[in-house]
Amino acid sequence: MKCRNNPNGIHRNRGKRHGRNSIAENRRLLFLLPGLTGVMIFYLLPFLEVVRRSFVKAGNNSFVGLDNYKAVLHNAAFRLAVRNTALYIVLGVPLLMGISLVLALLLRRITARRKLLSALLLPMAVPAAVMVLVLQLLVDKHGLLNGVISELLSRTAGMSAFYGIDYLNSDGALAVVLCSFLWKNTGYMVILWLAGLSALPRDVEEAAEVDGANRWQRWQYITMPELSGSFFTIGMLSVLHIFKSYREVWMVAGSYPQENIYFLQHLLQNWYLKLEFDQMAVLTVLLSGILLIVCLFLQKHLEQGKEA
Amino acid sequence: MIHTMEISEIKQKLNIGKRKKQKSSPLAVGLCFMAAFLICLPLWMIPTGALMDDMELHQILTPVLNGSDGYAVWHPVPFYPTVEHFYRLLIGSPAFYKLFWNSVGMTAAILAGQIVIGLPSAWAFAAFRFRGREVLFGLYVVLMLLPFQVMLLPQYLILQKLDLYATPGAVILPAVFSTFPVFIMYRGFTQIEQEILEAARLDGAGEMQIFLRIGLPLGQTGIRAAMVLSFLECWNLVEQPMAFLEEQKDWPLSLYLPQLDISQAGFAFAVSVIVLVPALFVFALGQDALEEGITYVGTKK
Amino acid sequence: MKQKSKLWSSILLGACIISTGLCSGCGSSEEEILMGRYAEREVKLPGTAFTYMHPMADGSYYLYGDEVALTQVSADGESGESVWSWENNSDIHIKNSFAVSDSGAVIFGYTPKFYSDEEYEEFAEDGEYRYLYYYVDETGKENQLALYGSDYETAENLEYFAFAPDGRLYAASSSMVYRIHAENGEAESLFHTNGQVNEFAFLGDTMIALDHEKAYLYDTAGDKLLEDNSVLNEFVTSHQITGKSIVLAVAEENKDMTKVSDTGTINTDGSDDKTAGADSDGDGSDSPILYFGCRTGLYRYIWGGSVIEQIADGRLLSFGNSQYKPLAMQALSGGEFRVLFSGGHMVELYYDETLPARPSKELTVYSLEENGRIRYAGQLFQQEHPDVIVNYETGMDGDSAVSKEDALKNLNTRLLAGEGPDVIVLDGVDMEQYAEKGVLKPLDDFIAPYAEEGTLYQNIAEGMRMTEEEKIYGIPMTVYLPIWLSEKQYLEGEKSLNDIVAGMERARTDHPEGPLLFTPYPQDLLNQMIPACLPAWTDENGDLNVEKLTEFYTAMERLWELDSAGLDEAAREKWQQDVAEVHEIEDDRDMLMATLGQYEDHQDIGEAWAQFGCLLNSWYDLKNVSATKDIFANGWNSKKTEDEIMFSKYAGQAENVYWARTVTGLCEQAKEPELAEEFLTLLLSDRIADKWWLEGQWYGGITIRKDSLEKAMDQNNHEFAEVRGWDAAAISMMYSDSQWFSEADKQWLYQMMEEADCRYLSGTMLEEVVKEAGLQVLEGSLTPEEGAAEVARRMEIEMQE
Repeated sequence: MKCRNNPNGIHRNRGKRHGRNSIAENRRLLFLLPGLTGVMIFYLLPFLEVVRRSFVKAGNNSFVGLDNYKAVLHNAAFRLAVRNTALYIVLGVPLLMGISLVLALLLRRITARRKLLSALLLPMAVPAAVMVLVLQLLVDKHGLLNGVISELLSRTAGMSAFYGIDYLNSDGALAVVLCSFLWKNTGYMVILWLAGLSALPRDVEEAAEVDGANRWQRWQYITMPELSGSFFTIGMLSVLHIFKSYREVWMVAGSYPQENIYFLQHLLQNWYLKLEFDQMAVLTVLLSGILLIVCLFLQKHLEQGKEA
Repeated sequence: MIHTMEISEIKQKLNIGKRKKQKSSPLAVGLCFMAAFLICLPLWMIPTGALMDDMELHQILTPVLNGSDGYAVWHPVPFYPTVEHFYRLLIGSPAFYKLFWNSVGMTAAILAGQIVIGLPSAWAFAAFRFRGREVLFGLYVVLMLLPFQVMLLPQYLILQKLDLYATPGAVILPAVFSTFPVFIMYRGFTQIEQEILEAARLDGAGEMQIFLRIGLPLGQTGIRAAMVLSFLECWNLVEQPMAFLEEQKDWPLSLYLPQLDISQAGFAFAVSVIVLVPALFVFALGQDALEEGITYVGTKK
Repeated sequence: MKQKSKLWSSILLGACIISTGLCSGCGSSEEEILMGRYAEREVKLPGTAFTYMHPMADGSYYLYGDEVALTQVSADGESGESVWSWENNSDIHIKNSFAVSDSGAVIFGYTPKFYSDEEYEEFAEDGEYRYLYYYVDETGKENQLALYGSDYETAENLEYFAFAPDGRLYAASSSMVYRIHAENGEAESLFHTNGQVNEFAFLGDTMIALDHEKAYLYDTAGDKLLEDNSVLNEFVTSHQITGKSIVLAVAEENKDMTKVSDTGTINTDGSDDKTAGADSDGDGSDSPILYFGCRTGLYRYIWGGSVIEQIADGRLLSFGNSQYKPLAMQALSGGEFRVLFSGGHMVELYYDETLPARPSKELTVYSLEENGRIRYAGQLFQQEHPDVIVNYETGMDGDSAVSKEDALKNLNTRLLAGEGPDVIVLDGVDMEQYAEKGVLKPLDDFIAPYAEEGTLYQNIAEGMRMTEEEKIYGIPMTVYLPIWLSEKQYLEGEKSLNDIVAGMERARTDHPEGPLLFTPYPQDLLNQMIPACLPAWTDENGDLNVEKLTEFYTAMERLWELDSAGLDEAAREKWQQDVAEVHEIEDDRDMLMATLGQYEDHQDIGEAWAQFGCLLNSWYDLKNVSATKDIFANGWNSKKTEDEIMFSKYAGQAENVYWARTVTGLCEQAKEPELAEEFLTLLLSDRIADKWWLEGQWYGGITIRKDSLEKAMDQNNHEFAEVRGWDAAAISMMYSDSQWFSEADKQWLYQMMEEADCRYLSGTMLEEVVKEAGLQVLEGSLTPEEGAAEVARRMEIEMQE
């Protein structure tokens, strides 16, 4: 295995050129400045406003300290939403990453992958409203899925009295949401995996193959470490899309869906409709705190794990 | 200036040109086709639904429409194909074109802005090690993940202050500065080895040169991936235009779909067929890039 | 290392400074107050029935109306001279179209009155039943024109005539524009149109003709259709709303105009106009100008330019008032205009430099959905307050993708940002939540004077009182009252929901076949029964009363069973299809409304023994309950029917329920609180309450003003008092005159109004959840107990939030 990055080397080099360092540094950060300014205006300032509002009572704007936090943490709906969202992430992210990685690895071996990729990406391009329409037709109590099942049952088992399942109102609602999430996002993630895999040095892989390393060994020692950065990116994007899938869930199941698919965004949205912005702000601050910690942790272990 | 020496070195590292064609294994092909088939099966409803007339749709969807007994069925091929929905959309509704071009303009502006603004940012995160990089980058990721609902109010306040509210800028500018493309392009850039950059620096290449001559070509895959994904986001943007654009004449196509309602399924399907067409083009373009990815660098130089 | 961190922090600092600088820089630039805008003065006319104006080059004009003689009025409006009049001596024709030329030649047309088929046959045989056109030349010589195809079957109705400045005559039918040769009565076809051309203007040799979607340009000298002008077409498409809604005026070369507009342009269309003003400066001085007058204001188009600029905001002029339709416009010298509106209303628009370009005060009225009553009140308010601009906003427009939640989110964003409207219509909005969050202003002081004078049904206003704060935050303009209709024997002793079920059991025993209730779909049953029951499901703390809900579901299940017992599945499906087919004639939205049982006008098919619904109006809107069997068989008026079939107040689980409509509240953060109160006063005045039919739009509900209700009840207007419905085979629409309201009936209604004190607001979360679970109960997949438990479970999350 080869050490591709050398942070110490960079330091050494920098040390050498200390004289002209500051100008170069200045120039370097000019790359960041325009973007950073915009991010400050359109994202960071708004975010700080959210933080401010989390300590303030909605309506009369009086400072209430941590009262809003207490209220939120004692809220049963909040706990339900956290539990569901966590479960959704814990199930959804690994599933999505796993399935898409397998597909990406398989696709890599296929020469005619281009059309397949288009096919995989299609669901992503379907407008949410139509996606919901399709979903509804499929999983409705009188929908196509139940129709197929009842047909199968009557043909094979001779059962004629199949009562359609109202999937979105059953305990399996989360599974439906998960399936539609996977359906929509797999292609997207495959693209990202492929982008990550494209940097994989094939000569090394081939050399290892010649050396008699088996598939698993090659995966463990060559592919995995190379992909660890992609793991981070794709993991984060999966979380992003978990959050984004909310709109479809809401369109198909409403503001108060079956309790297993009542997510944080349902809560956020309902609070917004009830003008409870203080509670929303608290939730956002808590959420971003957790996300930041997770993100830094993963960054450290995945990004730098690769470099070490 | 980058010496020819280095370019050959890059090529060697990336092993360009030596790549031999691999044979596809039949199992892999089978699995992939199955996955693609499964994913596309429900989508078959869209083009077929768009070609069915309202009577047929109403008839086969009655159980879903009004909860009567039995199950909805789908005709894989319309019994009485008709283009009435397309006719209504393309001939009968002039507003459609306005919105279509709004969408095109908005998406183009956003993507261009993301290249100009986001690309250097991503490069800065990938190529330089500065203090607070991790935390700042973490912050970028968190800002990317925050649900729009909570940013709605404070962003509205900012846009009001900047006199942007109810103008196309209210949608375009925040999207241009979105941290999402930075995040994806960053990934592409991290695959460039620091050694190459260091070597270039030692040879006295300026940062700008390094960015343009090494960063851009080698980060292609990431950039194109970011553009394809960003395009998908922008093309189907719903919440931001709905919140920040007051007048319907400024709306993008994504808001054209009439209020979700199965009784208008045929029309909705027709709209989405049209909406899907540009996306297909972009896929085709993006795939060339993904496919050629690194080979592209090698042949160009 | 130190240097690096310093650098880093300085960059951050720099970004901060730039960003905050940008923010404050843009925010603080104050707009200069532009002075000058168009105002109007009314022109006194010698009558009200004028429907036609013909402007002359010297500023004088002809006026003409159906009942009035053609009058020539001098430019200053001082002297009017009756020139010509015509007596209509045919009783089967009505006057239709009219035009006069500069020299005083007149053309006019008659169109046959619409008669039944038999009468038509008779007239047609006599050859009398056709369009008639007459031409009177300058000397007064009258001449009947035998225009192409003047018999009724083949002729086209020439609805609009226009004389060009050169004296040539043009006419428009619904699909063609003709040149009429008056001397020999020939109609020369010039070009086809997609719709009825309803306005002409002549600019040199160019004729401009507007139909519903575009402007046709025709070269009258070279006799050819000119290329379309996309600027004009776009304008016409977006501003020609119903029938004739744009009027044109031409100024060939008028330098005053440009001067005026340079300072006077009102920029309501945004930044486009600024650039437009700039690019028009160059060629503005000698190109002719075309002016457009329509609902949104006065616009000008410098011939050949690329934009149409707004020069006056319609809201501040008669243009914005839907009571008036513009009929003709004339550009006068000095940048003034003369506009004739329907109702004999004529104004002159003049440019007043002492008025601010845009009124400094703005009253914003918000409703989730378009509300005709509010729109009308807004126009009225605007006319009476020229120093205020009334801004009526709706959250959801027709077919757009904006859902109720999205619209509310946008409203809440503005409220949270402190930029909310002044007046909010609370239909569909959670009034209690808004009151609790301090968005709404208590109205107790506001309605105190009304209570003293006894103007309103105070019990209804009191019914709006919140349980916790004990204050009133919104007041309905009208209410619906839940009633039901059936044969007397099944109605007797109706006290509760269970009595209704018992009554229906009796009805089913007597009539084993056919539907009992007018509910083709299960959701119809729920929709119709919920209003009078919903208030009983929550207690004072807002907690759900599961027993009551179970009782409701049990009753619904039984009613549905009873209804279905006389109607097998195939028959019900047939019925549903019939309903759907009839509704397909109407537009899709209506169909949706009807299937959701929104008590709109479309429930009149089928037959049933009893019907639930809401009394939508004080005196004529009984069509809602018209489908009941025997009404048509016996005739509505017959004493027998009146004895056998009766209305009853429908007491569900809650008593004395009223369905509050157009509930209006004032915003705590209103920028113009006095104006907002004034607006609410106007809404509650008899000027609005007396209105029920405006511009073909129905403003439903029984007014909560006592005097207006009594006035409406006393107005025994037979023309409206009809009952409408389909005959048993649903083949043709039947009408029958109704004299439903006897003195006793009036008292019955007044009493019902006096007693109503329990509010029902539609579209709440609870209602939606109850409907959803209710469908499953009616379908049989949930028992009533399970249904109620399901509702409780769902509502629990909501309560916890």
